[in-house]
Amino acid sequence: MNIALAKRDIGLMIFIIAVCVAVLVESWDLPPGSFEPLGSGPVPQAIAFLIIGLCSIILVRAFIALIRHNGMQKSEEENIIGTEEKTAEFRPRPWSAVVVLLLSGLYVGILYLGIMGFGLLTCLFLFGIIVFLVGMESVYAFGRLITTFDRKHLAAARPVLIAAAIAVIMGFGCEFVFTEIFFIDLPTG
Amino acid sequence: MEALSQGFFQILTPVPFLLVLLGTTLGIFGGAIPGITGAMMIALTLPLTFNMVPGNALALLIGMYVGAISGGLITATLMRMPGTPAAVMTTFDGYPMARDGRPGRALGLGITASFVGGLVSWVFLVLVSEPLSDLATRFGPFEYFTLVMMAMVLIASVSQGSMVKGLLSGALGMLVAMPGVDPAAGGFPRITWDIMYLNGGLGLLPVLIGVFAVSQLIADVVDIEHKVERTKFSTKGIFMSFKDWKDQAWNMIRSSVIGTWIGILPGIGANIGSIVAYTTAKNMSKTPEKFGTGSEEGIVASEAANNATVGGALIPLIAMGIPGSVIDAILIGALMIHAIQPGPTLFLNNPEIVYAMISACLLANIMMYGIMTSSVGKISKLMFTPRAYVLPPILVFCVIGAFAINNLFFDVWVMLGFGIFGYFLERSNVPLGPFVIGFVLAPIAESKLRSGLMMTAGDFSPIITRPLPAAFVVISIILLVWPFYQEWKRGKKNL
Repeated sequence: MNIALAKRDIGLMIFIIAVCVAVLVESWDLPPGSFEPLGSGPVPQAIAFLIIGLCSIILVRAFIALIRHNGMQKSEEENIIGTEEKTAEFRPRPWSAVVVLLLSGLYVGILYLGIMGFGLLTCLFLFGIIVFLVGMESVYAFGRLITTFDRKHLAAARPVLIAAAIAVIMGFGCEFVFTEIFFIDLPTG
Repeated sequence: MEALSQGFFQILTPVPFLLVLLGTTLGIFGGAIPGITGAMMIALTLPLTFNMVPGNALALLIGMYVGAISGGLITATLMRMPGTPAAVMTTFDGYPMARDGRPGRALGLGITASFVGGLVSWVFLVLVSEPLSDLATRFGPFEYFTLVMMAMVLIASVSQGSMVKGLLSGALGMLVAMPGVDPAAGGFPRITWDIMYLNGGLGLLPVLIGVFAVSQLIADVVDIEHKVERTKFSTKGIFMSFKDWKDQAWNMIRSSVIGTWIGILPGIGANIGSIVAYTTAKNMSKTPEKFGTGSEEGIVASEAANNATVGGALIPLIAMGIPGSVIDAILIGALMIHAIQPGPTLFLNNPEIVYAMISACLLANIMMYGIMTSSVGKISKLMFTPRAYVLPPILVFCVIGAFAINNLFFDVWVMLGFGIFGYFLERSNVPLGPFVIGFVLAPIAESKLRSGLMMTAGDFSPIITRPLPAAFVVISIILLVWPFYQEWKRGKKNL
């Protein structure tokens, strides 16, 4: 088993077991059924016990993999790490996902509090996230473009212009389409 | 037959016709864009159908289903990146052919095979679903309960990776369906931790959108720097010649039948159908060594089978209310959202919906062939759109989709939470398909078991004394034990 996968499995399985324990505690005092013998509690309890059992199997496998890995020679580990680095085709950006999720949380929170209407907030949210994902270089190029009016910066600044166009069209367009055509009540702020 | 022709007349009226066209087109475009899957698109479109007539809503979603499964072919062939999981096998031969200077031919073979696969499975859909539904109406609660449990075991045992993780995923989906008012206990809430919003349970759409769309978005953002290999495109060879038809006819029909059969099996989707048909074609080929290097037979087998699973998977959905794949689980959700009870009585209570679905399936296949052969060049340009422009708008659609059901922000938080959870499940190689199917099927399984126990005064024995439930239990046990037996046999051989 891949050692990184084993570590991920351990974290995830502990979380799932904790959730199952919470379910078991919550369902323990449910009254028995009036018309049939099972009642509300046994089915979720049985599922929770099944999940704990399956998680335990995965945990045991993951721990065995970790113990085996720890017994390996250091040089072997270095070899493995070296190979992984060589085969990596691109650089993953987990922190980008964290930022996107935090911004999404902020977006939903502002919508919930009614500080801003859907159209304008979505416009700002989309612009921010797109610019963040395409990279800050385009923002600097856009800054140079509007301060120097030099067309040579236009190509590099293009992502910002595209982001602005998408943000406006999607933000206000969605507000119109969803409220006027699909009759969905979006937060107005 | 009369009902079917009425269904056709209904679907050929302007609004349903345009909705099928829209769904198929969007499905093809979505399928062609890496990172957007059919399940994700359908889950996101579902909230937009709230105000539609049920038949129209399902016509749109089925169009999207057919389009999404077909659209993955374009990306698989031109970018060596399956647009949808169903097109994985197509990459093995489609991309080498495209790099060899024959992208039009590779796509042409794939599009035609997809069309034929769709037609063959549609014929089965028409012929099999009604008799199967008649049979299923005779099912008692124990038959139904054991059938659902068998479906759960089946999907867990064939899901990619570890079987234990497949079972865990299904069980997790079932557990997530448990909170809320227990209908069998006179409206008594359970596992709600006194959170008022949980009284109604966790909503189908927030969970679906979270698990399928948000988790995929997170994964796409993490891999946003992933650069894809691309090949030049030309439409030369997009239409098959008479000789091609003659050479590929048997392969096409065999793969379509395999795809249909795999689709009928509960819970197994297009990717498994495609793998089985591809392997069969390779084993029966006169030139098996060409597979993986640009084999025409390989593309035909993979594409005929994955499209055939669409019609095949609709059979258990329509006849028994059992999803044949993850997308079908979402379609069951669509039926429930429109207050239509899925299951064997669907044919009796809502025949117009059933025939609208069947007609939409055929129409979508015809449209798919027309759209893909005429505009594959334009679609292929779209798939090179940077993901930084595509992902954020989808995130906004996710928020709207989750919010729109009940106008509750709680649902949006649930969606984001399940998005993160789904991402970590995927990172741990826990398949998401069984999760969704477990989530949809758990309430059915529980209510059938409890109503069965009500009828027998708490006696479980009909599960093993009645022939059908006993057969389902035996099949489930075999499915559970078989992978472990094979592992043990392999271990013994290696000693």
